Amino acid sequence: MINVAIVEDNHTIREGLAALINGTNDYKCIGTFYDCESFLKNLDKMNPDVVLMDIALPGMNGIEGIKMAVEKKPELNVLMLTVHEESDKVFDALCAGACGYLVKKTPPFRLLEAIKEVSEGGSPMSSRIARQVINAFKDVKATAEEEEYNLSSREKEVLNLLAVGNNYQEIANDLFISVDTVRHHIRNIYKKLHVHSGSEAVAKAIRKKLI
Amino acid sequence: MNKIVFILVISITCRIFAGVQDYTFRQIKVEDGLSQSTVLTSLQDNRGFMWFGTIDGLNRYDGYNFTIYVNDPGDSTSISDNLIKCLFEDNKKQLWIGTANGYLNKFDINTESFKRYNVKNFLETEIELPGSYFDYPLVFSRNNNVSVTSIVEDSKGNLWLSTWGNGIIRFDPKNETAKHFYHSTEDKNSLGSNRATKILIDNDSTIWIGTFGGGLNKMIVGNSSGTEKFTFTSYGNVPGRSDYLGDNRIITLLEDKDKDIWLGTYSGGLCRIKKNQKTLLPEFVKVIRYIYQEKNKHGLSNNTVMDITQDNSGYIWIGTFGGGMDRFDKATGDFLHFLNDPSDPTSFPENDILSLSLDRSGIVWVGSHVGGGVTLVRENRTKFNVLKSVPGNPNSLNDGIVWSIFEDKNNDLWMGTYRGGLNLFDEKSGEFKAFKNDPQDTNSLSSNHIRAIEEDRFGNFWIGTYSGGVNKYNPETRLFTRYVHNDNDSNSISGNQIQDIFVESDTVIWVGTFGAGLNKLTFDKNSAVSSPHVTVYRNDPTNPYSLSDDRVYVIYKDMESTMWIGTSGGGLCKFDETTGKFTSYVKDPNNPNSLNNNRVMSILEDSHNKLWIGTSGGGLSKLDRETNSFKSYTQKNGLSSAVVYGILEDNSNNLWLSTDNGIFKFNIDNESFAHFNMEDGLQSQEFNGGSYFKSSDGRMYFGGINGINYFYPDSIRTNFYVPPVVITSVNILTTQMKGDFNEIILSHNQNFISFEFSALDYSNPAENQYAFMLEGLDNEWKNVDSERRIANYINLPPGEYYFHVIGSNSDGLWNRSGTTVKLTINPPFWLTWWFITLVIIIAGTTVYYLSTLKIKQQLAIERLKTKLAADLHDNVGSSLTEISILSEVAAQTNNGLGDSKVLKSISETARQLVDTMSDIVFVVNPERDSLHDLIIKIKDSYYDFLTSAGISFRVRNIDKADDIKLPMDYKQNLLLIFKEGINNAIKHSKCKTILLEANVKGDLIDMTLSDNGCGYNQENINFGNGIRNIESRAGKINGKVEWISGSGNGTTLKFVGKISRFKKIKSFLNN
Repeated sequence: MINVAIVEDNHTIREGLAALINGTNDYKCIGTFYDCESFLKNLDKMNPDVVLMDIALPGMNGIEGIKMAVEKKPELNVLMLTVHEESDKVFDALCAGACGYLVKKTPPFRLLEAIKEVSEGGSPMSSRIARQVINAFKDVKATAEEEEYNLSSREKEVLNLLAVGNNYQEIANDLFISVDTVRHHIRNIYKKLHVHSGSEAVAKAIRKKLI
Repeated sequence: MNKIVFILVISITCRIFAGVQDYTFRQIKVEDGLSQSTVLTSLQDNRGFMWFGTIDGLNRYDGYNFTIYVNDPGDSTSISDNLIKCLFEDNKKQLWIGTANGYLNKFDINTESFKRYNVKNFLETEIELPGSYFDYPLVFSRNNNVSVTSIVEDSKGNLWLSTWGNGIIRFDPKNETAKHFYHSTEDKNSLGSNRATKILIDNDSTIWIGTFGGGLNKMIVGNSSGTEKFTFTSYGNVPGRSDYLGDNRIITLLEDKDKDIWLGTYSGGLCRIKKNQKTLLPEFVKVIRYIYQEKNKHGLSNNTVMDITQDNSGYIWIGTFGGGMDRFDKATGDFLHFLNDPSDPTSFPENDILSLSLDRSGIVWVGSHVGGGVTLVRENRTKFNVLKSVPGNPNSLNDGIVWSIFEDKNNDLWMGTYRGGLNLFDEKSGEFKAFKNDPQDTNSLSSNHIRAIEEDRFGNFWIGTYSGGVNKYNPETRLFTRYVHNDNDSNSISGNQIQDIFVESDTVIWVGTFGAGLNKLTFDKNSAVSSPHVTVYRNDPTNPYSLSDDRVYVIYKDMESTMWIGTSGGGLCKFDETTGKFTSYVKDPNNPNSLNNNRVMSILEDSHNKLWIGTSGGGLSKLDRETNSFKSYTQKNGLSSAVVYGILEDNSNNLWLSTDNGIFKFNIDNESFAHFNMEDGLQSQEFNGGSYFKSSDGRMYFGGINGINYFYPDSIRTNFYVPPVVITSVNILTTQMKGDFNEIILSHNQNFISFEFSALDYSNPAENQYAFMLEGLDNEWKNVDSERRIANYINLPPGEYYFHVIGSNSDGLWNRSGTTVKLTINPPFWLTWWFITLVIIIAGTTVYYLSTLKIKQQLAIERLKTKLAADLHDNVGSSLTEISILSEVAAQTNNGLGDSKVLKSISETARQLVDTMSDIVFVVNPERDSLHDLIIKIKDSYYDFLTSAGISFRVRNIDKADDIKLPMDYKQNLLLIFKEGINNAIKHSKCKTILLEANVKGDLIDMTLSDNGCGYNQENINFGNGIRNIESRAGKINGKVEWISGSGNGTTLKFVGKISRFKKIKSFLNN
């Protein structure tokens, strides 16, 4: 059973998504929230596996919300819901702690798939995002030298392959590793991104680069 | 003391010539431009111009041209009438003119117009004096009772006028008020007579009035308790008294430098009241009288004295009517007469004198009666004495062409002529004697063509002739011994054309021949007795150390005993007798420091060891023997003759040169040339080679084609007057500008201007030299002579210019500051700086405004588009998402039922719409306008789907695509083409890999979409509207699509189109 929480201000979408999730076996919607504040308030009482969070929310926006949510519960898997996949805010959200994103027009089966993937530890990353991650890390060499905060060479390889458009299977074939390992690397890349984003200077740099 | 001075003849000089010959005369007549020949008055103004008042107009003279001012009945600013009686320039440099019709005219130099003051307006009461006109001499017959006879100025700036019948008037020019003083029988203390001819204000401010019939009046202006008081004293003729005025009819007055007063009377001659007599009462005054007496050759020449003036040397000049002009010497009491002699054209031209004036250079200007015009009397500074050949006069040269001159030990003058043989002139007796060839007498002169004359220590004369060889003349025996060339005698002289002879010593005589080289005659004991051994030096073409040319023109031995030979054609030779070598100096065209010309006429060593060479064709040359270089002096240095015949040095560091253009005095220090012409007394402009001599007492002789000139160089005084330089007329286009100008401002289409100018020295204006420069156009001075005294400028571009002109007098003394006129030519308004700046500002602002406006518009449009699209997308997209989800939910709850398909369709359609909207937003977004952005968009759109379908989606070569800017229609159509292409691949190809590639080459874009699917066979499969869509879309952007496929080989969709490469101007649009 995958427990999903939804934070979305559009009533129809929120209730509709909840209905779709509840209507699917093995998925349960454990809470729907209109905004971040109410979600965060109730976060302690809940134990969601995946959170679907809209970026544009009244009051605190989704990016802030993710930050606070991940601070409270670091293992939380947050999937961003966005209208545009191109939005720069997507990358911000990823830096803030999201594990992936979905466009709202994604067909339901795909949606459920993504939720499942994320709950299992995978972190979907598109080539576009991969490119942005590469750029973000380029800028930030000077500040931290520790391996923990910088990408490993393997991770860089994965990122580059992703950036030019290979899918996971192809990457796995190229690097002689399994698809799971690829997923694992990507997860780590996200973690490092989150960490990086945590520090203010980095955040600024990233923001600069993206803009 | 009664003193009537009778002239005693005191001869100061024993010269042959009388004092009048110290002056030269030049007449200016109507033919020269003078308006009328009866000149009643003359004056030099502060600028230097000469003004003449005639009975028909006022004249201004600049040395060359006359400007005439006459009355124009239609112009009230023209002069009042043409009968000019008197001229006066006041302290403010204002010119006043008094006329016979009774007007005072004030001349305005800026407008060249006159302001008239009618004398009648100044009169307190108008007096009608009786006396008809023919009672008066012709000179005064044109007068009426208000004619202005003279004008003077007092120390307070008032003008005093004398009138012919209304006494005198004091005129205040500032307030234009007048006070009238006239004779009234009722008032004992009034002016003595109303017919005033002259007012004089003496050095003590006493006013003297000369009247015609009322004698002399003295007027004192006093001040008693604030009011003016006028006291008159009368000095009239006392018959019988010889020390008093002899005639009450006074014509003119003068106060001289010693403060004596001179009076000119109508028939009483000249009177003089000495300074100490002036304040005495009339009965005690002793007047000195000078009257004409026939037997007195040094007395006054005529009793009608019309005008008197005094020059800077103190001489009193007297103009008489009928007796010409006299010059009175106060020291000696002598009158020097200037009287016309009809038989002598060089004598004083006119005997009826009306007026005299003096200019600042010392020239006396004489205005004469009918026909006489103006005569300039100039001191003859240049005393070039002349000896000429006068046909029929045995006491003159027998031939004017003189080739050789020599003054012997007895100071007798020997002259060798062209056909007259030898002439001997004894100055003491003034007698000439000639020696000619007598064909019958072999002891006579061998030829009449004489080229050289020398004297040896024994008193013999060595004569070189031009075809008869050398002659030795013994004055005691009176015999000529001939030395001629004899072909059979190798010890004879080499040729008979003798050009020069040099007596070196008692035993050696050098002879230069024209064409036969140099001869040395060596005598055993002395040249008087023996027969010489002849050594000949000739030119040897094979020997560079031989004489350079056989035509020897001059032989010269310098102070260091070096011999120099000047040849005609072979330049200069230095002869070393010990070695027998000649070192030649010839003209080298490549060496500017070589001798200027190879025809040497004369050689002279000056007192500074420099050697001077006169040439025929190259002017003067100076040899510096230390550097062996020559410096030449020609036309551009001021030597206006290329031929220098003779060179002599005086004691004041000058060289005197005889040329083909007169005589030049060259100052060795400042290297300037002063020029003397026939006007100065030269025999002619053309002199002769070899014909020059300087005697032991410094007297110089130069011979020419018309006799010889002789002079003492120190007695040639040059003109020391530095002339003022003026611009005499300015013409714009063809119109002459009126007035006097310091600055001229013209508009751009008035840029044709000419300046005429003059240096106001009247000694010899034709010889004045000029130079001008228009600063702003020219960068060097243009030198012109007096005939080209006009500077023309055409098509001057707008700007600021300064026209500078300088000039010299006839003796080469320059006024180097000259005069300057500032000339401004205004640009047409379209070229003025303010206009141009304004235009630029306006243009710039307009361009800037328009461009930013356009950009702003574009930006606004772009932003609007983006906003609209975004709004559309967000709003509609949001609702569509809702529809999609709702229908999904509905489908879910309807699981299994048939409607669920429809609902799923609804959901799918809604989702597609959202996708389409997303595309629209992309197409419209100006920030995502590169090819790169397009490819990414395509990729991102399908990535999820393809990944989940297990199809690998690659892109290639997208980096360069960043530079290429796609216009919106390209974005849209390409997006749709390739989306359709991918859709087809997904639907039909059953592929595993899809590759999207973009290549750019120059202007062409090449995008390919390939899959590795099953391909298709063209005939078999109908793709429906999809292909047609793709092709039409490609056509819309002028591109072509191509399908490459084969069964089982995959499919490639290739688009090719033209695109201009633009660098993304991100910043521009990112506002």
